[in-house]
Amino acid sequence: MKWRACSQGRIYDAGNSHIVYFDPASGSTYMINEVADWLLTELAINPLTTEELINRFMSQAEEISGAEAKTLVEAQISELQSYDLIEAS
Amino acid sequence: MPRFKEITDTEAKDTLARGDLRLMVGPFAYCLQSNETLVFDGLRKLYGDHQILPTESFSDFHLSLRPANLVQKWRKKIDFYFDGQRPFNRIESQHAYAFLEWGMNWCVSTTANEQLKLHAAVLAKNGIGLILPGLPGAGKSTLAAALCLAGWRILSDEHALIPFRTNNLIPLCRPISLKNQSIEIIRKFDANVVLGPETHETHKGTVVHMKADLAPGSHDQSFIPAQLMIFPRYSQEAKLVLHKKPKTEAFMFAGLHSFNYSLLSQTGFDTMCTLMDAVSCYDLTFSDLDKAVQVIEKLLLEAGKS
Amino acid sequence: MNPLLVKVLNDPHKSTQLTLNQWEILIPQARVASLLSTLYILLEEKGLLGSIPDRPRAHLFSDWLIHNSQVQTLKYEVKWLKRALGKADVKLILLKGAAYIAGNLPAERGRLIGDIDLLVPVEKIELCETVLAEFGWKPGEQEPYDEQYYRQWMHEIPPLRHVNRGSILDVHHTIIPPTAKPNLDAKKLFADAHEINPGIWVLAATDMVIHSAAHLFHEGEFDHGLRDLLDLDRLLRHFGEKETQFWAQLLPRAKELDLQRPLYYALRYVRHFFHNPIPPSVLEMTSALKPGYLKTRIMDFCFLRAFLPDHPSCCIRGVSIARFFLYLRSHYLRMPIHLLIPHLVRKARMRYFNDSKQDEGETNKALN
Repeated sequence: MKWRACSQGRIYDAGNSHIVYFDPASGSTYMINEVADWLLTELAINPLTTEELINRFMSQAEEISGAEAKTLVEAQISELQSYDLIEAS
Repeated sequence: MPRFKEITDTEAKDTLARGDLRLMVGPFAYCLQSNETLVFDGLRKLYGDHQILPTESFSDFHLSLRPANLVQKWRKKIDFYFDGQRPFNRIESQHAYAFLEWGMNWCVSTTANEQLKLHAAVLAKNGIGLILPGLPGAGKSTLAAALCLAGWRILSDEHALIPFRTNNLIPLCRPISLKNQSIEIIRKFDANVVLGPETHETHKGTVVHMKADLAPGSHDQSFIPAQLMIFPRYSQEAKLVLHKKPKTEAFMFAGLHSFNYSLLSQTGFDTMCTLMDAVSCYDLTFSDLDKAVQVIEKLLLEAGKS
Repeated sequence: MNPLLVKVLNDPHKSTQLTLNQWEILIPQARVASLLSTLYILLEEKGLLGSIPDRPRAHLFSDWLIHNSQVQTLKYEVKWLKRALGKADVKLILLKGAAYIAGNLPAERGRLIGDIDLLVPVEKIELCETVLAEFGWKPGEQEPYDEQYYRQWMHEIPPLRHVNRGSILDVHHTIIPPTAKPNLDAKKLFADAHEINPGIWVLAATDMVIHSAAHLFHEGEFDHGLRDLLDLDRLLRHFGEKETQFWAQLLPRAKELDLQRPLYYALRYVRHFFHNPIPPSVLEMTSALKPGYLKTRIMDFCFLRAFLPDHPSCCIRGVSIARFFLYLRSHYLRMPIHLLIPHLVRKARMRYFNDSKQDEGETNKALN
């Protein structure tokens, strides 16, 4: 099962740890963290499985254990799915 | 255009009684009707410097505070009419003035979507706009009142009106509403403060309105660019604390507590982006009004330099 | 009387000749009739927006922004409705305002909608309620009496509200309460529904008009009466022009559904208010549907007042009586008499007690 981004939203990035994401389809606005932002960018290019995402994340994030990466990535996948910004395809 | 204080009491009373008192408040014209003494006294005291329009003009809102019939008059109850409709249940006539002020806010809150509307007090000094977002009870009205008495111009104590895709603020000058302890605090701050009729025994105690168009140019309609956004939090006995606030958090708070951010969808988002890019954001915890005002004056100076 | 709002709807160019004081009547009339955004789009289409004063235009534009927001919201809700009903293998059939918007009909232009109305087969109502609940739409909190009213007597589920998004669904299985028309065969409506966009269905043109007429002329509250009548006018003009068989099929279909009387009223009043160009042949046939002289006089008295915007400028004699009579009539049409009287008494008591509670609450809230 792969995830894909189903929203083409707009971002407000002020250089803080979180960004503001606007989803034109639902008209909703969310505050999401860097991990979620990164996930949306990746999934906009290609659908990927949870495992593929965790592996990519580990290769890009320094000094992070597999367990930590898994927790972070899975938590953000869950959040983004609840916002209807990504969906399982 | 003449100002309200320039017409005699008799003429003012007649005009108000027959529903032809047309007050300019920022971009809006309110056409008012009432026979209630409290309403007349309050308007006379607090709106003297507001401009009035002739009969042959367009008023955005037609408001009337009057008893629905003789029975209600005898029971000392009045109703609030908006365009002939009664959107709320009736109230005690002794609450009439507070209800008028609240109703005037309600008109802007529920219409006027042609600009972004944040729930905030808005002030200006030296051509620099300051937005004070905050929930009721955070102390923004008290702080706004103190700043006003320290020479700041009040643009609004309730609505930050922002034309689309700008960081400009539209002046909407009306009296500032104060409650309970705030009333005494402000009286202590400046004994000469002009206050309207006190409304007692409301759910939140006593409510009174302070004349806020004291600064020169208070009724100038030019837009003012916003450059400061301060989130006040009044806490009794608290030390003064000023922190920079992450813009993302400020964006979310202001957007969530807006009257029409969601309604405006993409335009709302774009406008908030433009606004947040232009303002420096701070959290301010305070208990001493003087100190809070001083700190804000410092921020104003810094903003003026950039 | 002919309200200023109706005059301008019929002849938008009049808007360029209005005095500021006339605008002070037109804007509130349009606001109370929920027609500000409709007026905005009408003036925009005719290229007249630049010729009207700034402040009135701002009010029209402000309301248009609300309409625009609702259109976007509807698109998003429809996406989820398709998924939910798809799971139950039920077609998504939209009714009324939502149908006009989804179908891009002229009645859509500027139309404000509240709830989203759906039509589902009666045998699938419970399944739909279950699957909609899975997707977040649940019955709001009802008084037990109201819940009984919906389920037992009207054979409907109460309005469903989305737990997060707040959107409201009205799920119907027929176009008029079965207590009013027990013999109306809803299967005919389903058979003739058509797909206007992938996965989105609406009623056939004749059925859409008849439904709108039945709903309006069995209705007890006319806050949106003029707007609904304008919908009818626009639907008739659109289908009359675009569908060659429309006029020929309309009356026979109304007969088939046993809804001739509301259609008669619809045609009568769209002609009166909006000068709808109903073909003479159709007019001739509808004259056979006219009620007796006395009844016609009474209904004219009532409807010609009920459709007036509820604004002091339209306060002619008899408006309150007319509205009250139509309120009673709508319940009488819906319920047998032995249920009607206790129901009205019950509702009056509920309203009285709610008002007393609210008096306090509203003042408290207001003065914060």
